[in-house]
Amino acid sequence: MAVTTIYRIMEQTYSLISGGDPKAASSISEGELKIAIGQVLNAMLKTEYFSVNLKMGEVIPNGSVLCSYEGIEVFTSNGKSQCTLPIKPLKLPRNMGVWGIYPKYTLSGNYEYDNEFIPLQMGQSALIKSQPLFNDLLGMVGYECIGDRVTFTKDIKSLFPDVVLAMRLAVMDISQYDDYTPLPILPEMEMQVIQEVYKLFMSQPAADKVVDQTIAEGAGTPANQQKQTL
Amino acid sequence: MNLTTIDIIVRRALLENNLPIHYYCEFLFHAATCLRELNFDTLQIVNTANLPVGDYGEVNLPDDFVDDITVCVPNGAGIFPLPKQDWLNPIRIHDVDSGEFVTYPPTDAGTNGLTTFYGLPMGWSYYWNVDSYGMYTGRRFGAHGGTVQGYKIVKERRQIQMTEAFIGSNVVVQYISDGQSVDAASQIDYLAFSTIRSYQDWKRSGNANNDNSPEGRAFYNQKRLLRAKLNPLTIMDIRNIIRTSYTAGIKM
Repeated sequence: MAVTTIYRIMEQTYSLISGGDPKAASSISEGELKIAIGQVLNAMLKTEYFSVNLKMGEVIPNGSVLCSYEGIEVFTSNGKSQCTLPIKPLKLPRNMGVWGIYPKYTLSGNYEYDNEFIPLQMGQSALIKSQPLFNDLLGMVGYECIGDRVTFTKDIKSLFPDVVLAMRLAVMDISQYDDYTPLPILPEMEMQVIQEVYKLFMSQPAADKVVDQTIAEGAGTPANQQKQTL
Repeated sequence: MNLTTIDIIVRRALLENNLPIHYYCEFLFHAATCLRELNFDTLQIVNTANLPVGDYGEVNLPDDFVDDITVCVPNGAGIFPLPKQDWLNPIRIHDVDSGEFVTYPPTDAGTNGLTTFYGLPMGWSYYWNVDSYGMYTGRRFGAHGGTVQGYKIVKERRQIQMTEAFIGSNVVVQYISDGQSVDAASQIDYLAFSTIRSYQDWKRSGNANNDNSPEGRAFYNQKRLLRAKLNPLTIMDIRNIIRTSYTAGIKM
């Protein structure tokens, strides 16, 4: 079986929508289709999580797509170390869309993928300050996500000026895949993606024949249906 | 004794429940609550602190103080316990000029009875109560034993008040901790592992407020086992108590 790529899915879908080879003057572009494939995939991944994983009592979103990002800068704002999410991830319970944030404290160091920061729910970092046992989160670094901003419980930028972060986010970031990079999606999802994207575009008017007043069959075509195909 | 940390217990709980790190805080909160409750009556973490005595005989209580075991005067390698003196006034007085808290004027009489007799110490008659061999003959009718030195815990002030006669710049306080100090997070008795785990599972269940639920019963059962495990008494100890409690007597 051929490797699934975004180009391959796009090509298959495009053929279905066009009813054959895509016409050069089609109102749908390849880029448009690729974006739609990403959107459909994200919706399907989320549905899959709720309908399969959670139903089975599994909380960990196995089978989901995690996108990795490295070299994320940390900055200080309002006395707190913060960073910006490179992309908005899926909205999953407990903000699991932000699957993990990992530090690299020094320029020559490694990303500490076994030592992730502790996720907090919105507002918890202020609440835990009153608890003497864990107001320091047992010496670990916690974070809260508000919008696309991540705020850390410790001022890691002051402690480690060269700190950069790696993130694993539960999202199908289509911009990370070029036409020939294998897509990390489940094989059983492939057909579904094609069907869903096809549904999205099936109401698009098909490209008409050549509009050429010198050809008799084109003469009666209304102006709003005329499409240049060749 | 083997000690574990709250972090190890929490991460173990996540593993056992097949949960990701996003549930860390919830398990941490439950573990901390359980630790606090166990410290009151089961684990009873005993901390010892050498605390300074202030200008007016006050000693600031440690942040994790729950109940006192003993307040002692350190002397060399030893610590000598002081009794509680409930007659001590918990209300502080202050100097009208400086506003600083000051000591009370000397007490002539307290609930402990007279300490002087016409300006003389109450032991003034001791010298006349010995026979020709120097042996004490008693007859100090109405005299009190004990000491007027001691302390009182004043929780509303978060202080210990020492008696005015207390001489010394510091006291050694042994107290039961609430287990909520930062150190406590890394000093949990390994035997309490299962108890804390069962508490976490109980509080995450739908029966969090039901003591008689299966999850609640599981916790109390684990707590019962923990108390049994913590009991230091062995068969050898019991035998030894019996053996040391009788003495040789005249054979009849």
